[in-house]
Amino acid sequence: MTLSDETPKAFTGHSRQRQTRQAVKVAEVVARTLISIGGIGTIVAVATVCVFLVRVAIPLFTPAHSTPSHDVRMTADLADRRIVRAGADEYGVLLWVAWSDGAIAAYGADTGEILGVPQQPFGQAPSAWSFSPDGDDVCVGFGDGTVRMGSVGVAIEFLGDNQVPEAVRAVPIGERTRFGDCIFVHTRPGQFRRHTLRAEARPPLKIGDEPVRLVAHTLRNDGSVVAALAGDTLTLNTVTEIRNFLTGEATPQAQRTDVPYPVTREHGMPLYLFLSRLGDQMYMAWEDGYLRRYDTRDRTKPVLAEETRLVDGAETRLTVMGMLLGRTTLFTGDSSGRLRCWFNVRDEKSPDGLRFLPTREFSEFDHPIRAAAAAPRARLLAAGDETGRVRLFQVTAVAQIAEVQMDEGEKVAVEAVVIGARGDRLYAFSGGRARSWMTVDPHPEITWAMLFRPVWYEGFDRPLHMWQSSAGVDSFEPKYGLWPLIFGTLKATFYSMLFGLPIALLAAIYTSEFLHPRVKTRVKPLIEMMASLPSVVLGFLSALVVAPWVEGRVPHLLTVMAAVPVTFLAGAYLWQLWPNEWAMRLRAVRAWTMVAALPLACAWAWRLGPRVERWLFAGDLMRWLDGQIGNGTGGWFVLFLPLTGVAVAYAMHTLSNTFFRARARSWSPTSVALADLGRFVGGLLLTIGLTWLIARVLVFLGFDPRGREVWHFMGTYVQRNALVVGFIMGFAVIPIIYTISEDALSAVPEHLRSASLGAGATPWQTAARIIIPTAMSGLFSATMIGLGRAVGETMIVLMAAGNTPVMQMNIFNGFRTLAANIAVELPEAPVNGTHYRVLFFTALVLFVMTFVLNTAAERVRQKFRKRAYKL
Amino acid sequence: MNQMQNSVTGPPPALRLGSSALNSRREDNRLSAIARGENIPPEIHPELAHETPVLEIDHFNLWYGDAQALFDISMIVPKGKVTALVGPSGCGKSTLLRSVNRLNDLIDGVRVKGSMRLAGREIYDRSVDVIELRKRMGMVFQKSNPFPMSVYENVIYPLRIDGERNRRVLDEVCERSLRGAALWDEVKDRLHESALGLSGGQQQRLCIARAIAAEPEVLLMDEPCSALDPIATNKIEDLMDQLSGTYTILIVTHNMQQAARTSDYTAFMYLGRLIEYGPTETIFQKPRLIETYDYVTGRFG
Repeated sequence: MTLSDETPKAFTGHSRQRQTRQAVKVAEVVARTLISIGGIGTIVAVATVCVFLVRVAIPLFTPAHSTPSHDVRMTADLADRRIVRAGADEYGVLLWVAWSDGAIAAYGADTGEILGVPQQPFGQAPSAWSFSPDGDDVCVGFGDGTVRMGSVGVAIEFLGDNQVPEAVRAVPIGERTRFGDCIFVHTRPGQFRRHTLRAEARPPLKIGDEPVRLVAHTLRNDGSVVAALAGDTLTLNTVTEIRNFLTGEATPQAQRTDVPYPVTREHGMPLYLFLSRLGDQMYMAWEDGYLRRYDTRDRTKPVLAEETRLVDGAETRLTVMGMLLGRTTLFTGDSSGRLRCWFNVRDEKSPDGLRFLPTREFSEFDHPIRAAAAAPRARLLAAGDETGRVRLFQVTAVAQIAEVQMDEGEKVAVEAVVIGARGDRLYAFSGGRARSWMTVDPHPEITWAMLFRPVWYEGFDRPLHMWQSSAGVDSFEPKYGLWPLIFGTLKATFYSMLFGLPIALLAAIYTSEFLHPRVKTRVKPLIEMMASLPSVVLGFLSALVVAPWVEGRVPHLLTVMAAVPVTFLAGAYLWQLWPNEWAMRLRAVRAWTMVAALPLACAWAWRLGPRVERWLFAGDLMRWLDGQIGNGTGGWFVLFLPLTGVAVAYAMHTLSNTFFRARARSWSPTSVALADLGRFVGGLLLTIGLTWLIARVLVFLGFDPRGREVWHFMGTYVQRNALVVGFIMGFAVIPIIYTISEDALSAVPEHLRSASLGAGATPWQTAARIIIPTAMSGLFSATMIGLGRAVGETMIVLMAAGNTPVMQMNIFNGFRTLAANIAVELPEAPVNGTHYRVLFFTALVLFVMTFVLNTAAERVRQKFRKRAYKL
Repeated sequence: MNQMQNSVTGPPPALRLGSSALNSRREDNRLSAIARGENIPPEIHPELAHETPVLEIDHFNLWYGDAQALFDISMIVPKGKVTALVGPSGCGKSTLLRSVNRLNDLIDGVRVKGSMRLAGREIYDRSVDVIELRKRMGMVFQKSNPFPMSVYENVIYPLRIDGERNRRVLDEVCERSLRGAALWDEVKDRLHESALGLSGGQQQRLCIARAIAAEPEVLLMDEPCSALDPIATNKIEDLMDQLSGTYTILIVTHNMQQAARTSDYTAFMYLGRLIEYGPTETIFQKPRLIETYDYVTGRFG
């Protein structure tokens, strides 16, 4: 006791010295910094991903530009000859020209200087030429009734220092030099590239005595097919080579078939003859645009399949014609300046099931087209007109890529055009001059319209949304329509939410409002653990276990879906038959009877399954779905049953309740329960009857739920289908939706629950009228987060959805989602190629989709929340 | 010991309530005996025997898990009268109130023993439908708890859940209840606006309107004014005055003046036991027990 009485004693005995300690201040600063870094880092990371996606995707949409490259005069004698065909190597170093006198000459692209002497592989001047649009092979016909196969192309070899002549070695890197009849390019130290024109001819083959006026050829695996117009006879020849084992010499041998339809003169001269890649179609066109299409699938029996006109207007002349890469599409240019692409589409009414139709039109030219050529490895088409205007088009996209002028001053007609093998150079020839341009458009086939609008792809009968990004061959037309993928994503989301959402929400309501709190603490973590199930396991399970299992049991499962709710409701109504006191006493057993209702429902539904299949689906669901048997009644019945059920329940509740209530006051509880049961059975029968009626009426009006269109909810059964995915992906989204909804429901203040229960409301009334409306914003968030999961889910759909990019709502068919598509195709897409960038673009689309979805969801959620407080 | 014997032998003379008596041997009174767990019978005033009981509580015990919250409570709630339950915090007033309409059932681990009868019918029986039971009572909570709905929908909620659809009936009930709760004039122009936009006092009166909308046999009020300002409290007290006679009201309050002003009978509880129960006037002016006197005059609690 040293303290004197005057000193006021502190209450606790401690002296009051409250200062924030230094360590606390430091911790405060560190925490704040770390949290800021984390927060900003997250935003930056998301933004970076987005920027990266945009950066990869953006070159798809950059407009093309072309720059003049060279303008040279070729050292060539132009007297009495014209250019039949020109070509270029893929590096833009060497040009070649096939002259009408049979000479094939090589020129330096930068100088126009002739390389060596023109080659004469055929010996004499051909009377007809046939060049392949996408290869080196060529076929020529002569006045003596013979044809010769051969090849013309640029050979490119890479050589080392010691393999090139002394004079060439001094060339600086990146420069080129002419040496003899070839051009050397010094690519990098110790490496040279040699460009040489190679023109070769096979031995002649006699196919007739009259001079060959037109020739067409195609190379097949089992030999070549050569069509020739000799005199007035059109012949089709299957050429096989017989190799002499001793000399190694190959002798061509032709099997000739005369086409029995006379070549008329009323349309002027026949100018063009073409064979399709497989030689199964032959086209002959006259100068006034008249075209005959022959069906040559059986080469010994050609049939005239179709006659049509390629030009509009009587005075219009056909000026150019050729085949595109793949030799399925033909292009025509005429004197009115119109450029068109044609191919065969399916047509039931035509004798051979096909019709030759103009599917793409380029009407940019105002003057007669004089020259046109297709690119050998891309769907590009170049054309030049009488005034020297040259345009480059992408055929699938029907888009102009480049427009250049042969000569700014005087107007000269373009004699020939060439597209470089890489699609990056354009050449035009006129009056011995060769001009070239660099055209930079790495992804000419991608336009917004290509991605999002229906496109008329080669071989299809109408413009379609299609995704078919790659195939084994160059000639394949890539189809980058994004709608099938977006549709697939939405379909997966729709069906998985259809299955998962009600279960998840009802489960959340049950656990939060009805389940005993102690049981809840065990059940909730259990369901949350479901979320940690790797989706690859779910995918594996669905693809290899569920999908095959479901396949044979669809009618049973459909019956189960109806049986479970009906059994539950019937059980509930039967339960009311207990006298009140008994019901109260048996409350503990009630939960178990509810659990028992599930296997019971499954059991009787299983017994009923085959019968349902007989009643609704003519006894065989698979064939019924395929549209082979039965009519649409069963399908409509299944689709409308839940809707009518809800409608009937609501109507009966609204209409008969007041009436029922007024009377029921004086009844005994048992008779009330009996009347209720009767009402339920009546409602059930009414539902079935009404649904049947609706189904009959719809069928009577000519609607069928089965089919291949977008709006058909049923159709041909595929093992990996939306039903299986919806079911399994439901399992993936249920835990998320369940957890968040349960939290939202439990977060509703307890006093509201007490108030409602205290007012005499049942737990269900409390849940439906107070708890759910109050927690609506949380339930909505839960739904949206589940939706986000379903949209982005990859593995399950990859493994279980069949990955067919079809646009059908059909629950029994597969689909391909954006996410699964990226997973499947990105590993095989060449980096920075069109396909690669389009896949990144689809990733961006997915990103935007989820972004829009989440933003919209947040807006709606805010609205709900506001309404909860403001009304 | 002396005090205890007094209580056992009979009511202490009013004279003994002098200050000397109050100060003497405070540690050894009835309250500490209760704290020690001794079983002490309550003082029930004979006036109650003349009342018609609407609610009879008979040897009622309640446990939260292992902890007993109510000890052997026996009392009646007279019909058409306002009965106040007073006592220090944690004495079981609210628990008793919530036991009457079985809201305690919702709490995990609640166990009861004994009996409670509403108009002669057992409340705690397995054959009783709790929902039907609650429909016969209205309850007003400590914190006003209007639903996030319109004023109108709040008031007619008990009718809505009973399936009443007749618009005329609903409108009539709404107006009558709001008038009954002295709220009609204030909200008659905003019946269809959110109830959450009302002031605290209005919200509590709205809750009273909701509680009386279904014309319950008993109105249970759990500290209805504890969160309100004096003006709002005053209005609600006036309201209770008006309602008494028509309704049987059982009210829990911490506010002695309120109990004195509004109630006909007052029960004093302590640590889960009923200590003294009698006409309000007697309880506040000359209670039989010194502990009651101490409490109502604010000397402890």
